[in-house]
Amino acid sequence: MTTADRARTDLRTADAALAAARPDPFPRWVPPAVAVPYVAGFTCFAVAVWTGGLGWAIAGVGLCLVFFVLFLVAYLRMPVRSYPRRSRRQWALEIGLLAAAVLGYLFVDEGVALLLAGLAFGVVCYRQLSRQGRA
Amino acid sequence: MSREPRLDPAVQHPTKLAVVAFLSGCAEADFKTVRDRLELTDSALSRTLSGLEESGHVTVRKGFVGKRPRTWVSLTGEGRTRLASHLAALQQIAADALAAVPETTA
Repeated sequence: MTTADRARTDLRTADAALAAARPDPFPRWVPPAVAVPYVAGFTCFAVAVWTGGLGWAIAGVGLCLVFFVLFLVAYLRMPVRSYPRRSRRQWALEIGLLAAAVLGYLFVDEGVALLLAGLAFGVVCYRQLSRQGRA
Repeated sequence: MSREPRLDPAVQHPTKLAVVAFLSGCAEADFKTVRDRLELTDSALSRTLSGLEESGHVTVRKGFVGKRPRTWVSLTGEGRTRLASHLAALQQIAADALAAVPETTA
């Protein structure tokens, strides 16, 4: 075997190993189960700001805790933990939504900002979890 | 400042190369998954990881999932850089060999 043959064999070995590191997809129920409590929690915070009701704030905290627990369970069950790989489009969407939240805070009110922030991270979380191992 | 592609003697063994290439595709992976997906035995993977840990390519971390212990393995920043350099050197060798092949005439 020549040096070049050995180099090509090694490159094929590396490619095959890298392909084997593809993370397992989450079950279909995980992305909505994680994203929905998050968005709902922030919506409750927004309603709490608008109405001044403590009950909405407590519901928001509860839903955010549900999100954290579900997210942690989903993350800990991953045998191969991957880096989030994001396209430019994804970055643009996330930054755009966050910018909208900041503008909402500055020019409208805190409730709108919370609603948009919840939507931003909910969308990001849903896309990330639903694409893992499938995209 | 760019670094010249250089072969890394620490990952020239096919098993070591496979393990670091696998780990370059993720943040961290558990021992069992690496063993199963690369079709290695426990002892072979343990030996390989020990060598790679000594050379600074990987870090090994003990953790728990629920009450079950798990061993997590990840590539270090230095390991990632050296793997990239090694793969670039291999590609260079393969490309040079291809360029050196004399054209055959019909």
